[in-house]
Amino acid sequence: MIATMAPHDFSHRRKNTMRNLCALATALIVSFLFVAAAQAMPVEYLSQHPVPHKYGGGYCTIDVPHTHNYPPDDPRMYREHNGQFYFVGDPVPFEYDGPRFSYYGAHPVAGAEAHFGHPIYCYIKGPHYHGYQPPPQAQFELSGGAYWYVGNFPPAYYSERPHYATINEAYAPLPYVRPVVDIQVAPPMVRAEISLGGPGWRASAMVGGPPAPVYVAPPPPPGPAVQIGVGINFGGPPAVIERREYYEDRRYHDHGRHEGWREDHGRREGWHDGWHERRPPQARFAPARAPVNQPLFQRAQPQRPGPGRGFVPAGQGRRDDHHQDRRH
Amino acid sequence: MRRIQPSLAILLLLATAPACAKKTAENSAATSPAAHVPGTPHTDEVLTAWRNAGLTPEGFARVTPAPNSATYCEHGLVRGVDTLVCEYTSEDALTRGMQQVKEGWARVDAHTGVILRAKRTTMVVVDRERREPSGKTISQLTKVFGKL
Repeated sequence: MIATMAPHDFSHRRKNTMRNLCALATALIVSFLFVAAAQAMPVEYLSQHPVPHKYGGGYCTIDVPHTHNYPPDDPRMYREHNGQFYFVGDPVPFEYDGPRFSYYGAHPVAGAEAHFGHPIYCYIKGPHYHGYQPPPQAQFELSGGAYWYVGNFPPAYYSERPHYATINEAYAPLPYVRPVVDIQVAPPMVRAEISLGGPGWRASAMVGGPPAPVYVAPPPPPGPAVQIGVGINFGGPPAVIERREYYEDRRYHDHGRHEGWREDHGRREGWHDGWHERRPPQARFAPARAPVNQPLFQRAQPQRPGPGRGFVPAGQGRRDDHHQDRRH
Repeated sequence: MRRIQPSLAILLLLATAPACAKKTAENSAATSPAAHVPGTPHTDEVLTAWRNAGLTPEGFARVTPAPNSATYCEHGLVRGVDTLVCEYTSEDALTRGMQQVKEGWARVDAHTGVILRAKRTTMVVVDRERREPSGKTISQLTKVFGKL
């Protein structure tokens, strides 16, 4: 009995082995194809957009619908609809070398409505760039070196804001030069919104970036004047920010929290006291990169030659000055 | 990335299958007279417009398209980027053709793919080898084509 069973066992075992090998080979082929299919899944873009670092970086300038074999690096900078991505961010940190137009605060995104069937809004706070000009019929005002949206925002803008305002967190760590905007000459309607903490506005213009040495202008004559503008050195060739002097009274300072673009967790946004012109003190600005991890508002100091005492690294010093401001 | 190279190779082989068909078709296409489609920009007009814009279309030759899609197609390179211009006789054929092209991108893992239409003429650009991640040439091609 044993002698008759042995060949049967052997052939049975051989069949099983062959079956297992076939199953393994099939599984391998299927997994190969699955991985390849996953890799090859094209992603559709409807606009120009940044190229992820691992795909070479830079900025894709194709502005008609097109596909790539990679998803967006940071979806917070996009609107997604039916698997198609539309870039709504500031292109400048991504080696963008096309035309630049300065904007301040939230606004409708030109050209996006054609793809989505309804207005799409840019929720970037403070000064930023886009590669497009507002369409002539849109309600924008060019003032202080930037376009300001002076039209009304629909309820959808407010309801979507908590979700899409995360774009500010995406930009916070990106070190790049934002446009210099004179917010003192903001359109009256927008200025009112700034003072009320209106849509998308937060006046303490401050974004993230690696700490950099800050040249603080020399102290001003006594008074509560606070000056916008920072002079920050960085490795590359100096970018000269034109001299601008803006003054503001801020009764309610942020008590050193300096939260910048982050959510205010229910606290009031924006300016609380409006704007008051003051006698401009003498001030100088060094070659600068702005904004970084420092508020754009530094107390003006009396003018002295050279960087001298005024030159302090970002993240250090000058906080006392803000506390002095608070006392006014 | 390295781990999937074999599978990519398989896919590239699959992708070259139409190219084999293209070679044999090319011979028959060469013998038959050119049949441009009336009422839509002709391929030679597209190439001329690109040349006038400073682009350099190279090696464009007639290829036989898949059945029930385009009527006339030419394939070549523009600054090293694969480019295909096709003329279609009907909207249905054009829709089918565009669908086939998009499915093809998924198979070949194209870094960048663009398909645009001007009336019933399409331009297809595929950058398989990431020759230009910024898409500057492709952008120029599309701008000129969009004006036809």
